[in-house]
Amino acid sequence: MSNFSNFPKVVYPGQLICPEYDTEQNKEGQDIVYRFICGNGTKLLDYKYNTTTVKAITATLLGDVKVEEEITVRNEGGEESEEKDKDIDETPDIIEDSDANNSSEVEKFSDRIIRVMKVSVVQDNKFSKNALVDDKFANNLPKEGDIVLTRVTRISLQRANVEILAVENQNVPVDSGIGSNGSGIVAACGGSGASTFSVSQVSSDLGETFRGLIRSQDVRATERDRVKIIDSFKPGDIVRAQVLSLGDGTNYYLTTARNDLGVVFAKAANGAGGLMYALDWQTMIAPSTGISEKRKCAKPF
Amino acid sequence: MVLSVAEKSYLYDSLASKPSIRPDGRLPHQFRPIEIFTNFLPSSDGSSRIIASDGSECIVSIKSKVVDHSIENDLVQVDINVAGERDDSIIVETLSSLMNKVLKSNKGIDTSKLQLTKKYSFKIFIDVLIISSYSYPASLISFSIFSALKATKLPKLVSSFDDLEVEELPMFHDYDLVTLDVNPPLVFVLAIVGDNIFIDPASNETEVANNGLIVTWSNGKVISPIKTLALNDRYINGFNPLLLKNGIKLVEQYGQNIADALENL
Amino acid sequence: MNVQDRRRLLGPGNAKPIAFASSLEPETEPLKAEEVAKKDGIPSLSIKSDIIENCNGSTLIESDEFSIVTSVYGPKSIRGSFTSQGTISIQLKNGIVEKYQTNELKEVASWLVGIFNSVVNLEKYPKSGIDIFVNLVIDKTNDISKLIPFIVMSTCLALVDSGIEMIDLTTAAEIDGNVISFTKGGEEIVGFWKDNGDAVFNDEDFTSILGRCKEQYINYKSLMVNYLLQGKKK
Repeated sequence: MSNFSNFPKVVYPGQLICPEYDTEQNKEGQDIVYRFICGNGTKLLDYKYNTTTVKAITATLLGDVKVEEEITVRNEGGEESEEKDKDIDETPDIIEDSDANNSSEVEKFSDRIIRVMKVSVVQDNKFSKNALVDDKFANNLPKEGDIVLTRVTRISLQRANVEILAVENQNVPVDSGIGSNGSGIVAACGGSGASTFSVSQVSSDLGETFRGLIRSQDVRATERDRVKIIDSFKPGDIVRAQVLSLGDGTNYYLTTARNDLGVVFAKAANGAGGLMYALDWQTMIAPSTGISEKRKCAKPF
Repeated sequence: MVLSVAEKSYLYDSLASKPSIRPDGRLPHQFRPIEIFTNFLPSSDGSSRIIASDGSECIVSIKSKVVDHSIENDLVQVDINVAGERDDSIIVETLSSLMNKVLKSNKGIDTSKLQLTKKYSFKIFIDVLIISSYSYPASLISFSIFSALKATKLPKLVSSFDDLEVEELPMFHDYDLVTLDVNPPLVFVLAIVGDNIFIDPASNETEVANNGLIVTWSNGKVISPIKTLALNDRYINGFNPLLLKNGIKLVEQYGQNIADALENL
Repeated sequence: MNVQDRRRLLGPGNAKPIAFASSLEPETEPLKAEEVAKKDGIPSLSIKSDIIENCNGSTLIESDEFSIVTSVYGPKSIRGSFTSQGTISIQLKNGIVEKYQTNELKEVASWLVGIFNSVVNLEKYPKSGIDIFVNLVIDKTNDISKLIPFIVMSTCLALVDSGIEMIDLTTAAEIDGNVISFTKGGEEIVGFWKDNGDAVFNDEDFTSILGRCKEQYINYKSLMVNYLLQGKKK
């Protein structure tokens, strides 16, 4: 992996990391073509070099460079069909210095091997140095397919309105969601709240999080037309949900139509009682009173 | 005007190509036709109304007041109102800061032309009302101010010029008016698309501009303020430093033609 | 969403959620600070990042002449119609002495938005707003043109500190009232500002001003890079 040794280790925004393609010969005299793709904290940009335009991967964050191999690029019989299996099989990350001769992942095409490498920039974790997930707040906006933790704010016959508290496996930015999930102390009229009420209508209110909505037909996968929101969620419940789409200006569209999605925490009697535990996927019970309530529960394990 | 992604991309490519093609077939230095009417407000010293071909419209009124110039330093004051915008909105504040800088005493307007006596001067109040605007209105405002100031007639002084010894207020003739002889600067808005630069971008051109320039021109040369201007928030990008020079040259070259055209109304 | 929502009771200001006994170690390191020697007319600067607790990123830049605090909030959700990319808003604030008029500060702020719109990777932040607050705490220069390079620098560093993705580091340089903000190692201009004086843009002068600005920009940028990389090592 001699190629990667001349990559910069620590990068700052705007620093070039590598070109889009690179080649190398391995010991057997085969050509290896590396195709680098952008991970977190990088962007593919055009650079004018003399008169030609070259695409190169550029850092957009301050942090350490991490190079890992993406799964399989297949070239069948001259026909160039690239298939990236994104959603399944999390293969162990191959960091630059680890053993990369994982030939099972490498498809041979005549005497040329094509490997797709994902280049990303890992930020320092301000909050915990030895975190297992590399996830300073960075860019934790909910994306399509992300799992989010939400709190139900309002229900109606057709939908449940929720506020998004956190994206799973991602840290929460220091300043967001004061009052719901922040830990900072906010001065009166401080922060961006000062501007929002008078001048700029663009920025958000202080302490307002991203909002989402779960339509009744997205609550569960079966009998979608018979879902009663009132039997699925109550205001105050903490719900684990998946992002379906970025939605409209105000709301993300979310779904809980999966076994592991749904209510994770709920209090009995509209929040007056104690914490309840899931009995099955649509019942929760309060151990102190023995009264059960209906919810669309997430599979706890 | 809201353009689709495909329309924008088409427009961008045609503007960025060499030679560039503007959607209305203009040359890079060519303005859209404008209509100007002057002196139609009976209660002000000078006024003008400018209508651009895209329907942008702006009215300017000039009023004056006799002030003691040893106390009052600013002899020109611009107030800008944009229909449908609050007075503290960014566009209004930015435009009024810009226009005040453009017409700032001694640089923009020759204040000796406003002097009445050794003690007193006229102070000029310029009120701008933008009735509608579809592209960045800085050029429109400055043309309108230019023609309004050129059409301004102020009362003729009949008392003596030297009033330092004798304590007296300036006296004016009952009927006679004197044309105000000033040369206010003109402001040009330029749009940068790729490696090309255009004067007077229309609204569809501003939507795909990589950057914009505001250039001030007065008496045959380019003066400050000069600054870049973000015309949209989607296409905005850096540009080649040479374009800055090209833009200034373009204004230097054609500024006089515009001023002549405005003067010979 | 509605007015009542905004008036939710938030609890006492110093209320904190339960912290489980794990990773959160108190930061014992002193704040990073760096002194940079005076050369080529660059005032000696002291830069500190991460100084304000409740915003995502903040930077303080100080010299004998001025002191600028910049804080970055967001990306946070915005109201209104769907936007496929982030929206930047910048507010400039006078210090104790009201030196500049509000409309002048707003003009500078909207000019700065233009600069940062072209360097921040906005596609990453759909439906969100990034709020930047620049506070000109102390200013003895009396000329906003002299201050702009450092406003740009501190905003840029605060954005890096907040972890918001940026395509390039940008900073501005000032020569004879010409303020030029560069990116891509001086190959491209993202902002130009000139308030005073005539434009003497014959070829020679232009090239010399551009060259000197570029040199100053490269100095400033290497300063920023050094600072960032040094802070990273600690």
